[in-house]
Amino acid sequence: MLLAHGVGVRGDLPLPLWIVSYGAAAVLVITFVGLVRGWKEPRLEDGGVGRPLPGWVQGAATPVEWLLRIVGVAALAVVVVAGLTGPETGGSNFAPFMLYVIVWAGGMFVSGFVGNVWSALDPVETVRKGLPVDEDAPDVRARLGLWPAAVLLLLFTWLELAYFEPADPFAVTLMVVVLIAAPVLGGLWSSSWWLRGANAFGALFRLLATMAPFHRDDEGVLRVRAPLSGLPRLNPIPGTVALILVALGSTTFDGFTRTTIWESVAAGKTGWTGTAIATLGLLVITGIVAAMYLGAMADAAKGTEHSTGDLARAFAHTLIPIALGYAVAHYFSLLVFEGQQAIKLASDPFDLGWDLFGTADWTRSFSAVSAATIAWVQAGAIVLGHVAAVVLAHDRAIALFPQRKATESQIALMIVMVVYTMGGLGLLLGA
Amino acid sequence: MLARRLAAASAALAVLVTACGDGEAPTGESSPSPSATVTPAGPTAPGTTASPSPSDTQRDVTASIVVSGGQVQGGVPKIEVAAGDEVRLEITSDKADEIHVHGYDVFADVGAGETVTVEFTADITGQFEIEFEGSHRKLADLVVGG
Repeated sequence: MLLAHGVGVRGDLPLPLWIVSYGAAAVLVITFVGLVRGWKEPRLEDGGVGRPLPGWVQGAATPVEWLLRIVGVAALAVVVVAGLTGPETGGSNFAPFMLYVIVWAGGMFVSGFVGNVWSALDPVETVRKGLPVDEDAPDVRARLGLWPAAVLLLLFTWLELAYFEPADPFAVTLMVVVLIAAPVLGGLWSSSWWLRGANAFGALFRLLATMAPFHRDDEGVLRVRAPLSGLPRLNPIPGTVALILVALGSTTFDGFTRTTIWESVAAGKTGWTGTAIATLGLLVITGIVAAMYLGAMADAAKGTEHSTGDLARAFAHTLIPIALGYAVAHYFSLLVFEGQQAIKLASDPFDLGWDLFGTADWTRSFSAVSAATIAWVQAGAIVLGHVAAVVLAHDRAIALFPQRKATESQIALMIVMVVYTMGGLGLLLGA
Repeated sequence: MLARRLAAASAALAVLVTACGDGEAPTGESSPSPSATVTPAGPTAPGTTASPSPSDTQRDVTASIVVSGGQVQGGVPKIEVAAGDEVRLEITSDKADEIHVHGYDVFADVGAGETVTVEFTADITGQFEIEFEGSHRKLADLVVGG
């Protein structure tokens, strides 16, 4: 993950072969144990409710939420002004660091590992709070689903991974405006569902937060549950699967651009030529990742009353830990190293010599985390994401199908998941 | 048992996939990839030469880069060193510009037709760009192993 001439000065080293070998062995052993040993009854389907948090936490949540809403709107204003008036090189402008490091990478991590904190910070959700919500307009919700969010997320990943100046402050500001304007304008002119269905980050982070320990139940009570246990409660709508596959496909493409195969394709291609090739690569790789998942679902659907689409939605939750695992593998070092730069720039976002938080003189320490630690985190994230997915898929399969069909249905999915994992590790190995 | 057959099938597949993966993704140590060559063919660019110093753990690595007509002669090299190595870059340019080693934030000015030597200790692991600040031309990828 290296955004040329801007955010992301330090690129990760390729994973050492032996870490990958251990990782691959761990996948196989744990997968076999999970599948072959006695797990004959669905155990996870009713999970994910957890215990309510103490009363004082519930009481504090509302003022904290409104504080975060103010912070979110203020931060958006700062990003737009910094993007338009700040330094023109991405590496010293606050806007690209805020978009890529804090909101995108940080947002995925916090959503998956803590809870949907973003829904309080998100200016789009704040607008939604201020508008009359027409019961989320069931007909619009059923028609659009999360498809607009999936398309906008693909546009964002295009800027990040295909456009030749991803950290260009003006391009970043334009992207931020599009990501905010699409759901807000849709919400004002059409139906309030747009504020959810076209909110690219909001929708993805909400999905990732289904695996997080902290959540609000339907009555709005804050609860804590076992990590991952909330996933089987995911209720996919049209576009949910597409949104996850875009997230998964784009991080896969990010890994692919580090391989020698890609280097030989893209070598020396700069500017719009390079962008055109990368755009094609992004679409093809995302397409392959999607086709593998849907192919496995088509295979599992054979001889059952379920359609491929039904199964793709029924197993969608199993992709969420993989998507988070990939995100950790690709963005962990960016968050650790460039997060420092983001905190530094936050003290003087408009380059006026301010020192709001006393961090303006910080210099990034690239020794904060060792290369070995990064390698272990990367391999571990991909392996654990995969193992969680296999266990969840096994549980869903025995809940959906009779015993024999349940095992059969998993052959294709198992193959896909093992290929995803090996591919994920292999792409991080690629030098 | 179906479960056992499934296990066997996936084991075979996984081995296959691992094997393919190994073949397609060479590691830096065993088989350097084509783009990772630091020894360009051109006579003007002697490339990277590593001369072992008395200490086995720390080496002096010298890389020569020649830029003319906006192009790095022999292609943009990948300079692979180990953590702690002393890196010496000899950069020749037909135009004046500023050299920037990212991550290390080492800067040096080079005048038109001049050769400038940049020296630093590679004590930060990771992959970094070396570029001309003015023209945004990438000069080399510096890969510092752990």
